[in-house]
Amino acid sequence: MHADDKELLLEFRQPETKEKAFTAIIKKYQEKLYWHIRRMVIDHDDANDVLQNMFIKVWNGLTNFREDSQLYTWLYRIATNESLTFLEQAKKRSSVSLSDLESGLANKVVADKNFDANRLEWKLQLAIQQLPEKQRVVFNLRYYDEMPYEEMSRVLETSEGALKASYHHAAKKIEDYIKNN
Amino acid sequence: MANVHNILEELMQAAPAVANLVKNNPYTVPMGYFDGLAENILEKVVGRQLPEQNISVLKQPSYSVPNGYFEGLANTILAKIYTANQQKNKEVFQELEHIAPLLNTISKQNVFSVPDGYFSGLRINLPSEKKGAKVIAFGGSMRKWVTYAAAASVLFIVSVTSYLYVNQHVKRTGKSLTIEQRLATLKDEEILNYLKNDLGDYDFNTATPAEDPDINHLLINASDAEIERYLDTESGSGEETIKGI
Repeated sequence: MHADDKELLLEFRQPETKEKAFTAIIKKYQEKLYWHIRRMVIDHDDANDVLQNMFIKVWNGLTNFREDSQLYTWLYRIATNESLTFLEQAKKRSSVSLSDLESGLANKVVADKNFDANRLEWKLQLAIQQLPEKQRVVFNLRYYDEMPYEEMSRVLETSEGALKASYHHAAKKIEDYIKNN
Repeated sequence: MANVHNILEELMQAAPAVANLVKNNPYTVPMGYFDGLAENILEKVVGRQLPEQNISVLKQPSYSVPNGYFEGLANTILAKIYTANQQKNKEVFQELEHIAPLLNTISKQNVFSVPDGYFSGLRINLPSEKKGAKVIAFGGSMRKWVTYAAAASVLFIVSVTSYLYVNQHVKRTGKSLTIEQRLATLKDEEILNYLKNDLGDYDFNTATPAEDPDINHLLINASDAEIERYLDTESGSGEETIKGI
């Protein structure tokens, strides 16, 4: 584990420095985690809710963190699970099918105030929303966060081979979508 | 001395103006430089600790640094880090180049908007631990007694219901007892009295089913239900008819 993360962990486990260490962890990882979540749930308010829930879980669970992985791997795992749980609950609340949920997310992309259908970056976002949830996570982690497969394997608890195959399929699908739209 | 005289004569012949210059040394040397020079050199050669008066000389930097070195150092290091990341990112780039080269042409900048000041003002609303008011937990021994009371109530209700049901069932099903069962409850004397009073002068001694074809027909062909119905309609309650003679 990175030396500074180790120090933060030690400070977190001391009552007198717990809050200071927690704040430092948030400041250090908030943007990376926020964007990881945002790319999954699209809407800012939803991303904020998921991020809040995620850090509450960090507060409750960090004391017992076994340090068998990097801190940021653990944080990414919680953020991913919280995002997927949020999407699952959204699906149940509105009693929509999976395809309806994906088109709902695409609608949220279109609804962003900066949306520009002519820009490739926005087409890319629409293409990503066509992917199944898990495949979307794999693509985002590799494409945007440039996470090594070895690290991703620990985050998603899936084999590297499966992740490579998933990323391969996702990238092909996205490219085809952009070419055809 | 002769040698010096020769050098001077040689210089007078070569450059008389130079020969007439005063030979003063224009360069300056730090105070005490020569006094500690031998120890300085020896220390550098064999690593011997020098007397204190020479430490200040040693602490002065011996090496020169290019001008502006430190001013640009941070940028230099950042550039190297960026290059190292580029090398790592190159792997992702190369991978995508084989799978979907179009995606490598798209900028990875975040397109979604974020409210101004979101990250600087981000606060996590941790659940607070409320103190002050005493919380009475509904549990422990109270819950145990409630459970016992609930179980006793259910048992009581089931028992009463069962008793009432069985009782009702006995009364209701009393009419549906077979004739044999009902007759079995009668005493022989009661049956004979009934026959004597109701059937009048009918000669039981002579009348046998074999000799009275009508009675024989009735008795043989009548079903138990029909006999029962007869008994019920003629006397109201079958039991009263049989017993009330």
